[in-house]
Amino acid sequence: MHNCSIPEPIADRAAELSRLRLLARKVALVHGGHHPAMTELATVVDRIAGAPQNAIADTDHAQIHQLTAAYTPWPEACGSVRALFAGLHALRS
Amino acid sequence: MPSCHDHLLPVDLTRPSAVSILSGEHRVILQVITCLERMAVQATREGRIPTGHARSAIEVIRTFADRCHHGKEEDILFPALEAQVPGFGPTAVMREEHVIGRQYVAAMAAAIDADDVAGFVPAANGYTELLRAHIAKEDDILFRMAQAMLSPAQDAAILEAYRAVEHDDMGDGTHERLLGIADAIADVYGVERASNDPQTFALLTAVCGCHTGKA
Repeated sequence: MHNCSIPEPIADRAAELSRLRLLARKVALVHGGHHPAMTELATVVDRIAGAPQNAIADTDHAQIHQLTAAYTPWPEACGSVRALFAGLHALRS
Repeated sequence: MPSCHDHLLPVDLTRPSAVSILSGEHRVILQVITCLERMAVQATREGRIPTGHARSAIEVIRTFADRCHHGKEEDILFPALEAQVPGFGPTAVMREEHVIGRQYVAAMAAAIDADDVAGFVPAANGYTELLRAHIAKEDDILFRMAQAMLSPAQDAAILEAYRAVEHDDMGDGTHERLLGIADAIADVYGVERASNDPQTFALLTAVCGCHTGKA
């Protein structure tokens, strides 16, 4: 149902998490076969994006840190992977 | 009631093509205009426009729906069809409706700036009504015709041109940023995200970013 309690404008954080959720799904779809951690990462990001107030627990940050090899894309990684890892890293700050 | 277009096969949404990519984008546009419709209801009820949400919706409509999606239609798909059938009527009608849509969007933007509920509500409702009918005509008639008209080589060339729009004209990351905004608005207004459907998601990501699966 319509929820008027969320302040305007669309919280940048909500839009950013929705963007990262889409990127994570795309990366999992394209690269999950060669990089299984990306499939797990998409699940984690999807859970975070759906959490109330988009809260991110320390354990989630730790899991993302591990799945992304400390936010380090593999050498030949594409732009989507790099954008995803950079966005997830920025969430820490 | 049977129509004269029933002999045309529905758009094949199981693979990226010149028309399926655009049909996938239609799902996102429908998602955003449903939000817009609910904003109009809210504005009528509360006597004020949900300004931030409405501005976000306008950004998605202007950039994703008009510049990117209608741009692909007007600059790539329609000319390909018009080259085969000079004076092709359906694309002329679609172009006219894009122009009318831009007028509604300009009216909504002006109403938002002026906090003019009486101006916003009819513009939002008019745009929503126009776009729903427009999308139905494209999905059910024009795209079916296009699917039958385009050769595999033409289809592949159009897909490549779409990729150039995403990368060169829109810029890498723009597509995902706008989809993120669209989904965030949808969450606020309780509208189903188009990207939740795996088939639509595959089409939405088919011409943006990486797609080789090699790296």
